[in-house]
Amino acid sequence: MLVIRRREGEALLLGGLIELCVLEITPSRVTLGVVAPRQVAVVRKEVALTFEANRAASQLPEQGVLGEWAARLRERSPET
Amino acid sequence: MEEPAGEYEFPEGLPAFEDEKRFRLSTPASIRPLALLESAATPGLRFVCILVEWLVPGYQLELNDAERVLLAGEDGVCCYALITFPKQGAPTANLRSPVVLNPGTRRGIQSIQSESRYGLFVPLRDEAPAEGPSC
Repeated sequence: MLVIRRREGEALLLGGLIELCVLEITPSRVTLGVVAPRQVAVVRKEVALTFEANRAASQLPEQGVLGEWAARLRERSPET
Repeated sequence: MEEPAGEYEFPEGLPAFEDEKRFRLSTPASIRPLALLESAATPGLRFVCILVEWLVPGYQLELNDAERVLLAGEDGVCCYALITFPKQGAPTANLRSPVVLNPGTRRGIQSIQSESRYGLFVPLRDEAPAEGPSC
C-alpha cells in the first residue's frame, strides 16, 4: 500500500482524473472530499462490501442444507 | 413485545436491492432459529437470517439519526444477520450490516455499521449464546 502524508486542505490526484481532498481532521475522523467524473462511483468501502454480501446472501442453498444447519443450531440452543 | 414476524416497509430497500421496499419476515418452525426475509414484490428473492443475539450475545448496534428516523423509533427493534451459504464451507453471517426491524412501526433498514468490531462474513458456528435472544 502506498502511504502518503497529507495535511488539512491538501489533496491527492488519482489517475489524473480524481481529486481527493483532506477537508477536516479531528482526533477520531478525517473528512474527505472527492472530485471525480460522473461515471466514477464513489461509495464507502463498507457499503460496497455490503452490496457484495447481499448479492451472495440472496443465493439460497437447497432446502436440505438449510434444515441441516437449523438442526445444528437448535442442538446447542438454550431454547430447546 | 410485538411479534417480529410479518411484513415490513424498507424505505431505502437493501443495498444491491434498492427497489425492494417491502419484505416479509417469517420464522418457520422447521428452520428455527433461522428465519426467512422474503421480498413482497419479487417472487424467489429471499434471504436466510438469524437474530444476531443468537450468534453474539450482547451485540452492540449503533444507529445514526437518519436510521432512527427511517425506523420511526428504536424501541424494541430486532436485529437480524443475513446468512450466506457458500458453495463450499460453512455458512457465514453478516454481523457488520444487520437488518434492523421495528415490529412496532413495521419499518426496516439494513444498518451498515461504519465503526464495527463485527465482520461481514463471520462463519456460522453451532455454538449456543450464553442466554436466549430477547426478541
